[in-house]
Amino acid sequence: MRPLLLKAGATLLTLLAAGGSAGYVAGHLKTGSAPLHPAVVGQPAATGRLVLSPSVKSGEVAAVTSTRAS
Amino acid sequence: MPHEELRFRSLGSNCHLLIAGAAGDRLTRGAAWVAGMHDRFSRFIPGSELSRFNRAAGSGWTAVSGEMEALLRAALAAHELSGGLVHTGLLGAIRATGYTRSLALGPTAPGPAVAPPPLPEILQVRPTAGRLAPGAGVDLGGIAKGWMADRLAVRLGGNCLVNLGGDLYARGSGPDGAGWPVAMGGRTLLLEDQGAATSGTRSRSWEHAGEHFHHLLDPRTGRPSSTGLSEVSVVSGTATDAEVHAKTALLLGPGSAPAYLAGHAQAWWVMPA
Repeated sequence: MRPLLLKAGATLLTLLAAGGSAGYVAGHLKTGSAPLHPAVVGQPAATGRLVLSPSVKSGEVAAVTSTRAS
Repeated sequence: MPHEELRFRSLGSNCHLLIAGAAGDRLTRGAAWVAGMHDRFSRFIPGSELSRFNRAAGSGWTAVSGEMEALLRAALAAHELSGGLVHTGLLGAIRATGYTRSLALGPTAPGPAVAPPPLPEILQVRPTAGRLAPGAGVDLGGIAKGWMADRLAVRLGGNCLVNLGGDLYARGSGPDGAGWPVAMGGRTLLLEDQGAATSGTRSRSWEHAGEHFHHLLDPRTGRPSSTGLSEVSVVSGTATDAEVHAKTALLLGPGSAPAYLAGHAQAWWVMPA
């Protein structure tokens, strides 16, 4: 009788854990309408303009050379 | 602080070296280093190390110099980083466009397009040796200038800028301490320990029988790219990376290039065709 009780208890615990996990996952699904990262992925193509990240400085001084291919 | 500079022609391009402060003979030694690398890695010189390596395709492992090994590894890294778009194993496809010799001598008649297999399938590298599949060939023109700019900046030392045909590395804080002023996209950027490069379809282009050709091939087709972009300039951590990112973005086209660049570049300029 005792082994049967142990098996039933283990089965119950397993089912509870599975059910709890499924409930948690269902409650924390990624929102389909969440913004994409990086944000630019969802933006239209940006061409014909210079884009600078904060790590690049610009200035008003005359350039000494150019990256333009030659 | 003033700077000294030297302009010269090498690698089929205009080259420009600048050093803040007294340069001594470093500029002329730098130019000599570039000329020496050109002689070793030009596909147009039959006796170059690159030409010998290409001729050994299909004959197993071939001994290569340390620089050649590093360049071949950089080529494989660029292929991986670009998802296969930066492909140095396009020698057959380049020749098929008629770019069989220096364009100063004029192109030859084009042949059928040749789309190559992925680079790792035709090129393998191990310490001091490389191996090319039968019939395969490597053209390092797509990555060598950036790679050389990064290394020459280290060789020159101190506060310097190396510009090899538009692929450049700015080392140090420049002559005025605010960064090296570099023209890009109509603005002046102040670069400090950063690389920049431009990839475009306007230079090294030609016409044959009414058809327009240029040197930038799309490995997916084996033909000159026609993605809707004519020029991409990029700032990145090194000239090598900038060159890879610029070429990748140009081959991706206007739909995907901005997103790619947002994830890989520090600054960029994209010009539609």
